[in-house]
Amino acid sequence: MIPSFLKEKETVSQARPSNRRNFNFVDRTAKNMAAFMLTSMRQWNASRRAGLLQGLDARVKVVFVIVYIILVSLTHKVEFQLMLSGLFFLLFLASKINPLSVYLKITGLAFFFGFIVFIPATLNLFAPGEIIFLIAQFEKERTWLVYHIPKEIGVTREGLLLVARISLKVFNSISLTFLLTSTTGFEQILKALKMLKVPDIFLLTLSLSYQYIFIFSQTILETYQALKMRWWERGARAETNAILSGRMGYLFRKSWEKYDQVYHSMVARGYTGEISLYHPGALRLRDYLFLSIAALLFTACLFFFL
Amino acid sequence: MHIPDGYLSPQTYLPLYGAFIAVAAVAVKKVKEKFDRKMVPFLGMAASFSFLIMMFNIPIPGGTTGHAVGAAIIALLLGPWVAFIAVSVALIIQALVFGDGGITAIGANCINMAFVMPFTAWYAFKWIRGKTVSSTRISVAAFLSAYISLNVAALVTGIEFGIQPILASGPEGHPLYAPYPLGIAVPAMAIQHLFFFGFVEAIVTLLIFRYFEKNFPEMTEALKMA
Repeated sequence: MIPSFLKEKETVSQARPSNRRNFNFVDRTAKNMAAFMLTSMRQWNASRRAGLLQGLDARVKVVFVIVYIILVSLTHKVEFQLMLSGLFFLLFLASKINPLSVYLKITGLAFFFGFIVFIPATLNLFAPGEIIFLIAQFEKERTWLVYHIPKEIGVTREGLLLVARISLKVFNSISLTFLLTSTTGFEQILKALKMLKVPDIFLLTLSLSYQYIFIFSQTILETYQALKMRWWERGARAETNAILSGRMGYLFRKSWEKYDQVYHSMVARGYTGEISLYHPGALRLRDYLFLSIAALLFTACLFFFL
Repeated sequence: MHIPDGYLSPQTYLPLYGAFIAVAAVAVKKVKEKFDRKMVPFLGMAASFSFLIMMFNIPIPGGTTGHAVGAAIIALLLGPWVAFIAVSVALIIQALVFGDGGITAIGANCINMAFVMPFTAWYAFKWIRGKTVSSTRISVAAFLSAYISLNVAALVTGIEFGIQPILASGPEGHPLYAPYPLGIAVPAMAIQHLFFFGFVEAIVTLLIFRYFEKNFPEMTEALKMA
């Protein structure tokens, strides 16, 4: 006997869209989900290699990264930022992370957020300076509300220095974040955050949601792959919207079911509402050694460059 | 809207970290009162949903696609306090896994996108909706609340950028962090959100909200408020 749902008329049209762009959102959503899983898996793999940072306790790495991100943020000399870039590059090499793939990502992010965004700041419109490349010249300077247009507009030496400094700061900060995430599993980072007095309740929520994201990314990816098999016509916006909102609603319903299941499994294992994560073990000699060298370098940097 | 490291001075990111910790403490208390033992699995679910909503792309007229911050729809579905924790957790995961948003800027990003945005959306929805049961007005309220909330969050972010040259400049008056003054940073943030991203956020919010209004009205916090 044929089930009734197989006899239903197909409501989603199967014509190939004449405009490929109409379909971009399916590809992009699927790509986002796949990227999350892929990034997490790569990090998980990299964090298990036998490298310098992988051999250290997660707490040491978290403290190192936080302290050095603050150092990057506090110091404003370009030569110092370049020195730090060199140091982080050596740490990537010592941790057996493929520098090409990781630096492609870091440079891409730093190029956009640290360079492109700040290119206009090289002009003397934002801060005075010695013009080294004249772009425009007017008869007289003008002021309109809070905006001041000088007689000559051009790229200044100080402006270039400013953009180089900010770009390097962004580049170094992203490098540090990647150093941590490429050598430490997410769960280890969470345990390390306990040391910083982040409440257990927050850490457990982070941990649970990270796991949920994995499960649901897989579900969404499969759903979108299925959607891609069934093309629909160009211009059927209402239909597209209904499908999209339906997917999001489905995701919410699945999340809600999962939450209920997880809660009941937690109760079955003795959960009473009180949360206390296990305390991590003691640090080893190499952890103390790394911390001492990092602290020495940090002090020297503050002394010479701040 | 995710602020990377290097944009904000310590004079900005440290107080914003403080504000984030204070709001998080209140949020945990508020959510615990309502959910008690179910709080942790519930928040885990809400945070993962919030994270994934940010990954959904929707087609936008003109052939491109866009995705939403998702804070407005999370606030309307789950309430503003749950939204605060859920969106914060999603932002922290984004910063730690993707490097999307800086570590020093986590406090600022959470205040902008997990506090300002959900609370603005919640109160804007409440105000626009009034006491009506009209589906059209509720839809308009959802659309506008998302649009307004994203623009308010963008304005706050613009102000945070714009005050950097005032708060931290070198001896010769050159900015040490984000270099654009308020007169540039605020319009730059406002224009792109007023004319583009605000509508993306509003469309995504409306799409999901209408689905929930039709299928799960009992699970939608914003519909319980009247």
